[in-house]
Amino acid sequence: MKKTLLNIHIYVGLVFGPYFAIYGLSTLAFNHGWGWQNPSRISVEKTLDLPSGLEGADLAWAVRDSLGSWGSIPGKPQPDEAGIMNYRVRRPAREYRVRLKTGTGEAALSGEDYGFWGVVKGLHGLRGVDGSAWANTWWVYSEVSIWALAFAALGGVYFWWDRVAERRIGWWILGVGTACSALMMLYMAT
Amino acid sequence: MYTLIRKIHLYTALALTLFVVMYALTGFVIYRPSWFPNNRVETTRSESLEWERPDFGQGDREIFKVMVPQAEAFREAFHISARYGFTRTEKDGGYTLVYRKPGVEERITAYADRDSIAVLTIQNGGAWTWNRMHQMHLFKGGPLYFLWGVLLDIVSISLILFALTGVWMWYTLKAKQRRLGWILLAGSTTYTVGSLIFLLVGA
Repeated sequence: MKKTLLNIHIYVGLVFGPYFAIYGLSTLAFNHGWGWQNPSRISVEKTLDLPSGLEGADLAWAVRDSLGSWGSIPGKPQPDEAGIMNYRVRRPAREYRVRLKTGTGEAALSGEDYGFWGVVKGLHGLRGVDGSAWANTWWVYSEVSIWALAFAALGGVYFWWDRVAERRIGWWILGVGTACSALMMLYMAT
Repeated sequence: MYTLIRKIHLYTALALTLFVVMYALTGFVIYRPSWFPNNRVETTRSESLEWERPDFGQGDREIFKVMVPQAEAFREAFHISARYGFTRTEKDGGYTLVYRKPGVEERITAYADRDSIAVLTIQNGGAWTWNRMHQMHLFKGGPLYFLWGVLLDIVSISLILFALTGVWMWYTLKAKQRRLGWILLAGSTTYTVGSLIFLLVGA
């Protein structure tokens, strides 16, 4: 039983270890604000032949593709009274703003690229990007990793408990660590 | 050496068990929000106050920085207990300053008429309080937030250490049966690094 559990603990760790590392790195990046400073600016302007029969979100997606970009488009973009459509295109580390004159097909895309740390932070909690099969697999890996992390924590407690000689010091570390963490969380939440 | 690495792996995990479990469980609130209804309570009050609109920059970060002094002044004037998070521009020319701490979100909306302010207080329900705890980072906001930031750093570094020491322990323990481990490790590392590169180099 112990050997089987240890094998599962080890192999689950090998499968999800890279996620834990990314999770740790991205948390450091969030905590220190890495990746926000000095993003690269992106700017593209084109006059497009707008496909007929498309409007709203369908038109926004088509223009996004024609501008050589990809990412999710939040909301339901619609042109204003002057026929100008403003919307955003988002994906990890990239944030674009698109301004389209539906009458003439003039499209301007501008945005920021937050580079490596932007991608690392984007992978933290990524639930998918419209139109990207690869990016849409990440949430599965993330969600199973959460289960794996909980399982690894419980398994670790079991392996510690099995080592009689280390129970006392383990209790102290577990008790003091848990009490301090719980007090701090309660204080923050109230 | 093995004993030392094993002890680091075990004792850091035991010390941080609650934090690790909290981050794991609150991850579900983020990934499966429909499982956790947010029974939040909202209250609104209006105040009279003349204000001046600062010049905003282009990106969200520029707006955040420009608004810090006014956000702090409003925080004192309206007795806001939460920490300034970000500023959202409104279509009418006004803007909303959002303050957050676990359990509470406060939004101060400065209307375009420039002489009135609305303060919206949102008391979040249980699971969403934990969600906010998951998202709390940076060291600003006072000594307690600083301490939280330090703890978060320790948890982050420990997670990276768990992964590295775990791989090292597998390599040492399974000296004669490493094939399965290599396959799993190579697969997961390739997928993770591949995802990073895919998102980094895409147009």
